[in-house]
Amino acid sequence: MNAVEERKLREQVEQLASTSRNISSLLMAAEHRNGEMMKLLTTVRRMIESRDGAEVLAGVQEILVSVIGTEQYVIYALGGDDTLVPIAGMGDCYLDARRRSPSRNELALVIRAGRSIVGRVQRHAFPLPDGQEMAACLPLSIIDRVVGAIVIHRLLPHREALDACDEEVLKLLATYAATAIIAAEQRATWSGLSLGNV
Amino acid sequence: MLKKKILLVDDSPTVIMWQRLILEQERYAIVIAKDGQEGVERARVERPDLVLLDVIMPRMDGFAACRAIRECPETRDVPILMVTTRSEMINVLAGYDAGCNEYITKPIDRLELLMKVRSYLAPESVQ
Repeated sequence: MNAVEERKLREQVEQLASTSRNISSLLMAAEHRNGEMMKLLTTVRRMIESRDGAEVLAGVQEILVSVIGTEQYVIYALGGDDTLVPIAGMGDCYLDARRRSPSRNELALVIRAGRSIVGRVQRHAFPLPDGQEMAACLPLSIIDRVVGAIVIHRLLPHREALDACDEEVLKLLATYAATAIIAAEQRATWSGLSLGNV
Repeated sequence: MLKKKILLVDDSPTVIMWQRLILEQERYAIVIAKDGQEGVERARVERPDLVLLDVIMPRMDGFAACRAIRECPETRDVPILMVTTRSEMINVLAGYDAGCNEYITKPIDRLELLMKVRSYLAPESVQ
């Protein structure tokens, strides 16, 4: 083999190696995307299979723990006077919230504003006035009506910051949880009406 | 050739749904148990090729279930992967002490789960 042939072969080998690297990186991206789709599919399926408000809340909590990766969260219902009532949760933050409840504080104002806050760079991006931290706050809303919020105070220690897929999962949960809270309100109203009629 | 069989033991329908979605795509056969006690019984009857075992469950927790599976002559050699949110060393050591082969932490990462499962189940024996 002469020098020219050898150079050509080397170039071909380099080209093949580069193509292989590109394919590997595309494959990794596709695998990652596949994982994200499965996360969303699991969330949607779990929510759709829930038959009532209690099951929705149970499902939301399972997804927060096992899919999102938190054991420090509170799900609040928001009263008409901006009081926050913790209806479910886990960890010290939930116990604290129950001790304080019902409370009217800055968090309630954030929730009332209906804006999602998700820490996508830092794991605990938002300090709260009472010294607690918050990794995410998702209002539970349908159209313009805010009925509560999912507040994640801390992620599991080994978990990285939330990403775009996590945010989509949380938004899905927030919609289903809002529906469950409104349905429970309606049920209470209707059962009150029928009792009155009796 | 028969599909490799994996027993999923978890009381959370969400976790079961997610693990099932990931593993069935890879053509593993899935068997389910909803707590540790049922997991031990299913392991004895189904003779799975691998067990994914949650730690905190009603009736019998993952550590006790792991010990019970190891004590049974029919299931003593099955690889057991414990799935937990607790990554602290004390829990990991408790799991190994109970006889598990490996740990997977929640939230489950699809690729991590597949790599760990594949490392115990030879891919050439999966249809």
